[in-house]
Amino acid sequence: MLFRIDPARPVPLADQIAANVRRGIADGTVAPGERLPPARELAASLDVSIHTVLAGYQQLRDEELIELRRGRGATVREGLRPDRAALLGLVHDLVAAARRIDLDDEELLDLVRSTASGP
Amino acid sequence: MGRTARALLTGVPHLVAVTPALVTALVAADRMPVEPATRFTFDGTAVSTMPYAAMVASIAALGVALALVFGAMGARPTAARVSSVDTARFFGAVSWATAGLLGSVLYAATAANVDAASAAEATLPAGRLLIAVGVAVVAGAVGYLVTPSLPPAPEEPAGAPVAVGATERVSWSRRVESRMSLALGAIVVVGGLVLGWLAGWLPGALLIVVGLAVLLLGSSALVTVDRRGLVVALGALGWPRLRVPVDDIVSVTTGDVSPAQFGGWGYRLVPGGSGVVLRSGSAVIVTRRSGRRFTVTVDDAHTAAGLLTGLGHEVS
Repeated sequence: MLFRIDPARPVPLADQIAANVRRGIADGTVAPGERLPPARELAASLDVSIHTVLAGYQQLRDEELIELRRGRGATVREGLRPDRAALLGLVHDLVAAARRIDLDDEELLDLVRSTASGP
Repeated sequence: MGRTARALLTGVPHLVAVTPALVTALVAADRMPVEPATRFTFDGTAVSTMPYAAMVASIAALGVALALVFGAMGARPTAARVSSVDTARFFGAVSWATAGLLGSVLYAATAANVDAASAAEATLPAGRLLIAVGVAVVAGAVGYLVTPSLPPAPEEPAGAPVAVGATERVSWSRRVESRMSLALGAIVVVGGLVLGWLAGWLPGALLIVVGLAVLLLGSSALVTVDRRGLVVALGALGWPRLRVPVDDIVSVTTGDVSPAQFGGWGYRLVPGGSGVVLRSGSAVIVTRRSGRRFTVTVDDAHTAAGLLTGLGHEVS
């Protein structure tokens, strides 16, 4: 899959790496069950620290998009719905947009709650 | 030139090549020993013999088999061009040279038996081998000249170049696996176990080591495109690795290739090029400054090629 990161952007590199994978799963470039590049290889390829790549992969594991196993590396979860990755991408965009207009977390959650329970 | 014509052009020379030996053997049948000599040492004395009928049948069978094999290989359909030299004409030269060498050796060996009372009396001076090499060189040259060059399949565009920003870092990677190497490696390992059980552990262990090496090195590769260029890390260990730096790449294309073009699977060298060919199908083909081409079979070759093109013209 294709990773594109830009250190000139204000977004942390680990977040950018995670966003690349989310997008890849959402648009079908990376299929459920597929292996992501080994962290060491990807770090060398992007010229970043291996900890940056691992931090990105851990985000994805916490979001239940990938599995991290010793020896097998990072694989996209079997049976995952690609839409879930797309949704998580939207959530990250939503939070970033709220931060840009200095909306605090409570206000954002209230907005989401009222939208979800609305007509 | 159609496929049939190409098959005839590379196949028929082998039928022609065995004809002098066959005709000699048939015409001079009653002047040959019952068991003609078939192998000779360098000082010209016979070392092994074969019944007359078996010898005639072997010569005929060899001619037909080589004609079929070379004919089939010469008739292969057009494919993406993976070498800076004309592989079709090169193959024509190889086929004709093989026919020339074999034909003259077979004729000389058959003729040496004519009027010999027994196989032991038949002698074949080593000088005849030099003549055979000369015939092979001439036949190869003729083969090169008469084979028309194969129009390569139209080269597919490299895919839209992926624009890479000045501060941006990109990395595309994909693993390519070879079921052929997996099967081959497994067969060799099992063969090693059987051999070890039947014939002793030393030859068995050697075969197992070879099988494991095929499994470990030849069964997969990780193809990466990034600022360093095109990197192919072989096997599960990712070592050894082959690299073509961006600066060394003149042009990038994609296309369908087949292991037959490279003479087999794995890391292959062909005249004017090289490649890591783990399966047939889509591949990235880069032309280096030296004119040599490097090919690697991989899925989603369009993205890889587009990115390599983009890396060559970074937006500043």
